[in-house]
Amino acid sequence: MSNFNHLKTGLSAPICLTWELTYACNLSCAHCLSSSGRRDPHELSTDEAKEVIDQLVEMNVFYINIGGGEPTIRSDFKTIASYALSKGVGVKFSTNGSRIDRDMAQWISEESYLDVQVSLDGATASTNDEIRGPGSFQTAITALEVLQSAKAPSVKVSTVITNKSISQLDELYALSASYGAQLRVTRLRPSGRGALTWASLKLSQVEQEYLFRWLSCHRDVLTGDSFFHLSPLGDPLDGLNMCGAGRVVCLIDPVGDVYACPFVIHDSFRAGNLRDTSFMEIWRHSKVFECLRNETGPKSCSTCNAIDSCHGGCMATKFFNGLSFDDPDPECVFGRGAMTLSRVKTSIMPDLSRSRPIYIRPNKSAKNSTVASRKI
Amino acid sequence: MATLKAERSVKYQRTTTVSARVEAFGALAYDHASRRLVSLSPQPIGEVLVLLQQPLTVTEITERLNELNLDFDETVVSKVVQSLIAANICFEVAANE
Repeated sequence: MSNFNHLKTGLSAPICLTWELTYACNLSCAHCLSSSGRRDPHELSTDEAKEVIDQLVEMNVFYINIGGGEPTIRSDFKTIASYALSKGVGVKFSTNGSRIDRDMAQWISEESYLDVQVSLDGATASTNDEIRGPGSFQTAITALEVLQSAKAPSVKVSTVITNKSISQLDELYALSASYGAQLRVTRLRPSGRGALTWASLKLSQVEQEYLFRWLSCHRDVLTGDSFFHLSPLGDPLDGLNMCGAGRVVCLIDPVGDVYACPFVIHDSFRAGNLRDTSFMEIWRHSKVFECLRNETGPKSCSTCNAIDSCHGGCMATKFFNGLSFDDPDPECVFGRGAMTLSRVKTSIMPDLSRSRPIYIRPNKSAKNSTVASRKI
Repeated sequence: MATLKAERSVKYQRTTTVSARVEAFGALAYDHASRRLVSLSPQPIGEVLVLLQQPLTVTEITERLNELNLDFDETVVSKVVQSLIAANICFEVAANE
């Protein structure tokens, strides 16, 4: 679908939204967009989560992407996901695999509208574990084995592509296929803890060009619409190919705050809180979203021939690098962003206060073991 | 004459795995089974898609649209329904003489 003009002023409801159910996580990934680790004591209760789902049903939101943190750490995870599914809202959830045991896999395999995305940031333990922590590769692989044994029909391997893993795309593709899973590749953003590691993990210009060519030849690989900033390199990849923040998508965080997209968990992009205001009111009338829907594209790109294909790139990547909306994407394929970036004196830091990982007790019924992490 | 009468009694319904809603430009439909998002335009395709949650004939759809102050004739509505069938978003339920 290429309906930039239809979508840029915003839809009556999101097509889908990301819902970080908890900030609790037993890992401490170097690029975690929500800086997850410790649970926030004010996270939405089960009943509050169900109320939110009722509001999403009323607005006809098609599906939700549940993440975190590690969402399966919540004892009511299946209750919440099942409630959404029973109301006709599709559910996709991201997991590091720690809690995917036989029971969970069986449940996943029985739900038609439920997708699971197992995170893997490299095709080898050394590449993956450098980013996601010791033991996390084996945990994910074991989860994939359990899911395959249970014949779960819709499994994805989700990879945030970095300069550590770009050379392993073919291996990641083959590894995913060997477990009956579809590969999903997304862009590294300087959001959350990614602000601390973006500069050292981001792709070079040559690597970006390689990625675009590779994705162009592997149209069955999902991208979460991440790479529209690369569109000037050739025929656009499948997807909306635009920034959907506050227009097509948004994010609900564990305490009910609503943000424009998963990559901008920052006060500047907070549109409201679901404990004070209904989701419909926030979506349709918040000042933050109205502002985004009236954006006309970066002024500094107005003379560029490629503006109609990249639309100025990702605002989160600009924002956390200290750039304004009017600047080019820092990873602009023509190098304009890199030049602008070199003039930036300070960048904005996300809230990293929840960043220490929690310890979760290994589930005795699980085939897989739990990765090591610190107890708090 | 008999054929026309038969066509008018055919009922159509939205595919059960499809969710749909009206948007300013027409409609958005999402097929949960195939995970496929479809954008459709122009009016009255969104309104027709919403109405087809239950089986309706072209005549019934046209009447319901008129009740919503949307003045479309059966020829237009029939074309809309055929485009929805082509996009695998709705199907023919039954034909009764």
